[in-house]
Amino acid sequence: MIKYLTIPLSICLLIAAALGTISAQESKSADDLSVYLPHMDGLVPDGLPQKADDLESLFAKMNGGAEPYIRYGFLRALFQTYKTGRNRLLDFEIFQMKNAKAAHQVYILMAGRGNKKLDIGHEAVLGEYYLIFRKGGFYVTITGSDSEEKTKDELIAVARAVEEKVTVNGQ
Amino acid sequence: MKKISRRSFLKKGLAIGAASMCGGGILSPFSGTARGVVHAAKPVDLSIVRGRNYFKSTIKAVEQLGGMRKVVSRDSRVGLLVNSPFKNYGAYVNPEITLAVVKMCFEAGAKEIWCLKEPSGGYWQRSKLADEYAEEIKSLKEGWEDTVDFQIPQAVLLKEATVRKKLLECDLFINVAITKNHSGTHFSCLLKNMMGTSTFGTNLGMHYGGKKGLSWYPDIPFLSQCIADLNLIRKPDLCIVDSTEFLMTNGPYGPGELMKAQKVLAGTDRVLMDAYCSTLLNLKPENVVMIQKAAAHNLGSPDLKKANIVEVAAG
Repeated sequence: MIKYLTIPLSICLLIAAALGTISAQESKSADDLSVYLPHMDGLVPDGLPQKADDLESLFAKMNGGAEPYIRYGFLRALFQTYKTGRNRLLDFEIFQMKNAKAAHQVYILMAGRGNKKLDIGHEAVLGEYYLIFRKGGFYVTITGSDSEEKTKDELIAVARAVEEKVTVNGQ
Repeated sequence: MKKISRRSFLKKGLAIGAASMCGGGILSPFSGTARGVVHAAKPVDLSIVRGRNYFKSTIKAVEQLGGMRKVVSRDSRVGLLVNSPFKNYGAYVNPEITLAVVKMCFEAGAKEIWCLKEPSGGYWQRSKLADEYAEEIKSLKEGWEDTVDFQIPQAVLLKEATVRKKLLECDLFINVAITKNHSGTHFSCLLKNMMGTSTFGTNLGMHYGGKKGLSWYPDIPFLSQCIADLNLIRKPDLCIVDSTEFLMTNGPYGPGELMKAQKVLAGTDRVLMDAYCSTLLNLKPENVVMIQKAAAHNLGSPDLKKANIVEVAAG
């Protein structure tokens, strides 16, 4: 009897395990923004990532800078500083907003008029020392510590690496 | 976080508030004529230095006022408030300016320097001088942990605030701010920087205590009055402002578009300095509510025409 049940049971267990893994991954991508952190040669995390998943932690992290995110609908954010290969600091921030419209509103507020538009995500601009882009309900800020051309190249490379990880439907 | 009782500081608060109203610093040996400006003919009200070497500009700006020894005495304990919690460029005081202040304080004989606000992780690393001044950085003391409830009898709205205990204990207080855009008050500099000495809870009340609203800034006149009230607690013995590269948009956090005025300012009149710096953001001081509220408290004069402003190139 046991012999006959072994194969079906194994199949069931495998399916259950697979479903569990998928569920865990979905859960992680929905709740843990660390899956979007860039992993690139020459980019070394400087300290641990900092989470903000409620209004208080966002205010504690951003002070008055938190206001537009809350106004438009904030779900969670993750902050990570890196050291680049040139020993400069680079700050990465990703915000998951309640939907694409909310992320777009923040993007419009922050993008500025004179900045160069880039083909990254659904909308992106390169400022003097920073790059911001929006993909679906995610809004990403990558900031260098100077306006050198090499820094701008680093910002773009990081943005492209992160953009690939963010998979969303629609705009 | 240790707190001491409100009652135990009530008397002190009254005394300090009275001193502040009279324009004197608390617990400071530099009250009255001993502090501030020393140029022979006419005292310099506001010292401004232009240049790309911000470290040197800071030293020169203070020298124009008479030098750090006019402010810091031997073995004194300095409370240093620096707008350093932010990470985006143009949102925080350039650490080279802070390092210049620290260096001058120690050279003048300061025994201890207490940082009244915790800097962001990596703040010092954002300066190329961090290695050269590693010893000085290491010797800075954390002065942001302990807090105390403080009565402000002369306040219009903010009658009580919870502030860093070291703000009240230090022998002299130096406020180091950055000029920048601010989405709520439109302008941030020395007066606004004082919110770095009060706790999150107090600041929350300043934001939400006025008319109810969903915004973080539902009532700007209320917030501005609270900022002016908060500044009654203690007059800075020296103010330094980073107006070198600062946010013109997306303040206070950034990132945003930068203005590169390349100026470092030094003075003792925070209202005058804020008034001057507001013009760098194309604002009129008379339209910045917190400046007007602070002037109404006699914390300084926003009249730029009457002030002796000396501006030089770093050379």
